[in-house]
Amino acid sequence: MIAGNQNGPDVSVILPVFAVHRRLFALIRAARQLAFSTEVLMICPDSLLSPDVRAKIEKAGGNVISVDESFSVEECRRIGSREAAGEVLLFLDDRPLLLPTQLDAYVEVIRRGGDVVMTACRDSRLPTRTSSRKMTQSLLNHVAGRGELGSASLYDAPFALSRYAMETLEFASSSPPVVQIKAFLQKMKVSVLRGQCRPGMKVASKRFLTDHTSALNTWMEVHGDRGGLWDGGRFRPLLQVPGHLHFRSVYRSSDWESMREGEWGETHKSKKADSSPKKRG
Amino acid sequence: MKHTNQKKQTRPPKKGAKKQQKPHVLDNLERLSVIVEVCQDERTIKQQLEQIERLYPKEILLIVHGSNPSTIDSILSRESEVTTAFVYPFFLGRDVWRSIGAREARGDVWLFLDGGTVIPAEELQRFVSACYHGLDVALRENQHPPDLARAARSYLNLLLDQSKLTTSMIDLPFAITRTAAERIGVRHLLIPPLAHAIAVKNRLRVESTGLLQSTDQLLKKKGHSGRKKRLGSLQQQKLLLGDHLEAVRYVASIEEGTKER
Repeated sequence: MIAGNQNGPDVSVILPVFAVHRRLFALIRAARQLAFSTEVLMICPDSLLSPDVRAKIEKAGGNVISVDESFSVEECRRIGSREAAGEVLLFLDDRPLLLPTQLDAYVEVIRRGGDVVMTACRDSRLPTRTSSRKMTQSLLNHVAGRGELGSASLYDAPFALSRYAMETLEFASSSPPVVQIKAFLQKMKVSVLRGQCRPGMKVASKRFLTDHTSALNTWMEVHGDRGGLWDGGRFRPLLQVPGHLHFRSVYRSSDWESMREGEWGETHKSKKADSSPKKRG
Repeated sequence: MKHTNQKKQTRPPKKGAKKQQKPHVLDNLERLSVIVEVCQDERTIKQQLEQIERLYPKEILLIVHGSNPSTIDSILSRESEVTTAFVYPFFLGRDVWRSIGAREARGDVWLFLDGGTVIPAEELQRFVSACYHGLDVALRENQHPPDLARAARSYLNLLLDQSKLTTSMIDLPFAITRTAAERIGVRHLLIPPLAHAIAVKNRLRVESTGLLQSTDQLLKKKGHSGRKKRLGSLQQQKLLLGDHLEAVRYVASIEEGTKER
């Protein structure tokens, strides 16, 4: 378990990197402006960085953590979270360039008492052509009663956690959907910032499904097989009893025939008699 | 009680008659059970029954619940040789009628319908014929489901490794063979996503027969007088999600069982 360090930085920026490009240095510089004391942890394969590039990164203010080439983005984030010493952990993606003000918005939410802040598409409704992945992410939020979060997910950077949330939710050892559902279960303050829709973190389909199924099962372990959701008023015990014992009336065609000839027939005849034109005397 | 002077529905000529019948008619007479939910559908049920009778089914089972007397009058004033109405004086809950109707059905292909929507016989026959030709469950494609329904359906079908299937047993109408329903367990039919998951996991042939061509012409009830229609959007969402969670639980339990082996 990572101990909080009162002398440590205010903000830890965790940035998995899989390609070196010019905006990477701009991103590091922007991240460094977030707080008086910020550390920027770049997690990347050792083979990616030449000594010159490594020196440039360190000059820009980044700390490089080397990992094996086979590590995924998710694994890099976990490593970063273990190494981070800040009270606010901000997870970024190396693809888009975000302005310091945009990054600061995430940090500010945590500073003001939030536990988890994710990124949601500006339009929270699902567009017609939404990927199945976005729909699954949206489903998870709806199950937890947080449909207003749209398809926001801890798969998709940027997102930020408080240190408390990171440790309590066992971020370093759980999949993103499980961490997310635990945050809902623990009634943590989970919010979103609206931003441009971007492609999410790449993750294998099977893994993605397994993670979400684990998260849903985690929810059901606490709330029951239906997740505590309404059962439509179903009288399920009725199905344990044979139909002839049900409190119901059964009208078969033959009954209608006899009813028509009996009481109905009498009523029909009398109505017919009443409606026929009166004979003139 | 209202009366009509409708003529008695004539049965088609028996086998061997000179007049050639459509091939499905004879199959329907011998095999088809049509199971219809009737819940405050007095404005549409007569028209739907007219369409069903054009199929010449073996039997029509009406599961009437949560309805006022005018609905029951509408049904009972219509003469029919093959109709049985099971009238419950209370609302059964969502989709319970499917299991109850299934338990009473005697045919070996079952067509499930909602009495509140009128669908032409030709379109209904498509589902039935698909089952005659080898499908275990013939589903309807739903072109514009609500967002959450689309998300839930998509997730479940992905979980079941059926990414090409974009529909499930939630939408009516659908047809199912008796054999398939017994494999699923008729008691599970009241949770459509669960029934769908069990069907797929049991390797039943579950396929879509396409969109209803007459979707734009469907006669829908105006207003929401029916109890089932009065459900708010939030309640519908909770019901939908809860049903899908039951299906997820089932799939997870099957896979855990597979792993343990």
